[in-house]
Amino acid sequence: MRSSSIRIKKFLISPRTIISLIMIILIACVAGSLIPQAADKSPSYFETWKEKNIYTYRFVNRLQLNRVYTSFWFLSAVFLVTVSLGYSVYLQVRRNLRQTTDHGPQTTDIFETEAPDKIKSVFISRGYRLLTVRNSQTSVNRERKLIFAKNSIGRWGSVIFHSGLLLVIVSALIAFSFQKRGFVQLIEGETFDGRDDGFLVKNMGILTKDFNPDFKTHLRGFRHTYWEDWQVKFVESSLTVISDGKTSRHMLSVNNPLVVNGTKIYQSLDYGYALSFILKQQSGEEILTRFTLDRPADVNKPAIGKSDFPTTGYLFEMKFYPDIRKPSFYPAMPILYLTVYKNRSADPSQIIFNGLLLPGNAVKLGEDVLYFADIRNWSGLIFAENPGIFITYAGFIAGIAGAVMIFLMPYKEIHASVDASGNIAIDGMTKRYNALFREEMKEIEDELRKDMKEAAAHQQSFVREHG
Amino acid sequence: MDNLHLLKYEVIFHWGAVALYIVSTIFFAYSVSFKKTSVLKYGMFSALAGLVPHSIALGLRWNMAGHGPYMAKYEVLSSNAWVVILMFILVGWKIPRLRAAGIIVVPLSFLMMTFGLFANPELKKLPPALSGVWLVIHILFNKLAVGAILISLGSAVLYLLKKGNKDREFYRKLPSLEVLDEYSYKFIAFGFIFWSITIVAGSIWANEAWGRYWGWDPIETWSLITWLLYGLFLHLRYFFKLRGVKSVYMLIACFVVSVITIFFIPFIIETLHGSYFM
Repeated sequence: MRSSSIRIKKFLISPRTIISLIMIILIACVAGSLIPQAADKSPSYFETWKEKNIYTYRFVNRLQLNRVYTSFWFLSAVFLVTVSLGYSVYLQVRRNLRQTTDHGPQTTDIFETEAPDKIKSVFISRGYRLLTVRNSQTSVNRERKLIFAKNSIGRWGSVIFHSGLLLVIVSALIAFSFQKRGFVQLIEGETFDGRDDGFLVKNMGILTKDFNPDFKTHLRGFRHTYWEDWQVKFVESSLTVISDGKTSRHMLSVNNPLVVNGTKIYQSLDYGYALSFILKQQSGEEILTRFTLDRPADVNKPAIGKSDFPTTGYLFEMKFYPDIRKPSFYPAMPILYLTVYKNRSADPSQIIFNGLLLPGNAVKLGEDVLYFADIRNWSGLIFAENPGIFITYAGFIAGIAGAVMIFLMPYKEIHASVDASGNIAIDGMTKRYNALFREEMKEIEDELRKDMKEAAAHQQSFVREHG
Repeated sequence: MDNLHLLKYEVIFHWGAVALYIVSTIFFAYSVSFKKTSVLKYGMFSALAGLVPHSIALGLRWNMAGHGPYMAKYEVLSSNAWVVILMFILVGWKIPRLRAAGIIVVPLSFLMMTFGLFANPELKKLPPALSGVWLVIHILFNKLAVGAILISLGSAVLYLLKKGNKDREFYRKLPSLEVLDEYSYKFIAFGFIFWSITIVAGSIWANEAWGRYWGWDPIETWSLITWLLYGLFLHLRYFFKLRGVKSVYMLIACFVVSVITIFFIPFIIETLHGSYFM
């Protein structure tokens, strides 16, 4: 039992395991970017694939390569990475705590030489600090060993970096399980009541079912502006938020999200026009309906849409031009080219109306009357709650700080030994850039020898002058 | 002066810079081919001289566009080359022994820049999402990563050259094989840090703009692939003492994947990041 536990622990921190896990994640990412993924494509795409090449489809489906990031093998690899990182961080912390016990410098002077000060100044000028001084005296020789260190914090680099990665993975797992994200098409003058069924599209964590922000959001207005080439310049929603009986006004734009009771609201770049129609039926009943049309990508093209008129058998096909005089996204002089079909059939024989409409116009659809009431903007708002986001940011900071410590501030330790005759020998250790470190030690040694020679010469001339 | 005139001057300054970088490349090539150490400094001076018209061209561009040079191939490649050359000059000043790496760094930079200059020079306006401090950090560190990776590649190539010509005087003046190998490693480590900051700043920016910090967009995924590959390289060096020629080959593989990520993915797969490069 104990031996299997030791074996598992060894496996978790074995370099081969770590390299293999990095490679598995790497291969998964390559596969995920090259093979069409279920999250990005419609089910019909995979049906067509299945029909065209059943063997490739079966192979891809069996290995879950069409849903890599939620596949069993990928999640297992991520789980192993998490455990391996956690255990490795624990071991590194334990080892570092043992190593960083600093006894402080021992300064008992046993030599009648000024060498240590000279040595110290050389090291200090290079950013080293004196860790400790050890004196030893054998029957043959007396020796003093000065231990200098640089970048002591660098020892913690690996711990901090890997802890950062661990935090990012943990936060990603939290998001995978608990995140809530929903998209709302809100028309000017309308209010989103914060109920789950009001979202047009939702993207929820696997352990979350409903998303009910506990506030109401009212769209007072929407502004969209463009550069000279009709590329989007700026979009902004004027919102009124009603929370706990209190109302507050806000402006929402891209890159400028709003936080309400822990829920973030983002301005999406999806927006368009909402056309309002009132259908007065033969029975006298009036039905108000608004159709939302996406803003076209090209200013020369109309906004188009095709939709059933609720509770009736009519099918509407719309081509909306915001300005009849020129290509524009601003509805300054709008016109609608409308085709209405009966019996919800797009068959030409079912056309009941086909023509142009201006806002305020009314047309007869058989016994019914259709009134083109008004045009408003609709704005796409994204509501999101991610309970792990602060962990993600903490992980980012730790990861970067750790990487800087590992690679730019590697721990270096140099031992300078001086014997009673003033001879110096140095050796040292570091975990990175050994060849460069050896060059640095050589430079230090040369500098020390030069200084020691000068000191000896100075001492001799002093003795000569003063007897 | 109207934009059309400024654009004309900007193009002249850009090509002036290219000409000086070509002169610099000739000096580096002459120095390495004919083993003349003294010529290296002329290569450095020409590269430094090239930075002057290059900076003016980018400044004019910035002034005309109303935003930094990071929209479309024309601006992206030119500003990448500017950062790489500046980094190389700073490295060559601080570590004179690495100046010969200019044989790789300078020609690759001006080729990158020339490729951009043949693209559409039209001034592009910024979409609303492309703003904010995190975007600037994201872009800046990506360019620094490109610079660090190119200098690392230059050092790796010097390693290969020295390995085959150890006894020649010119190569004796270069750092030892071990040290060259370590410089490659060190600059890859710089590249790794800069690449990490690129990813992190991009994630924070994406979270501010779209409400999610990771979306498996092709460029995001390939950035992660590149980062993992560098991570693999650094672990192989640490755990399995990957050194010498094997390390150089792995480094070249990392370089190729970085180039694919930054320059090819936007062309072959539809991506949210497409607007910066199309």
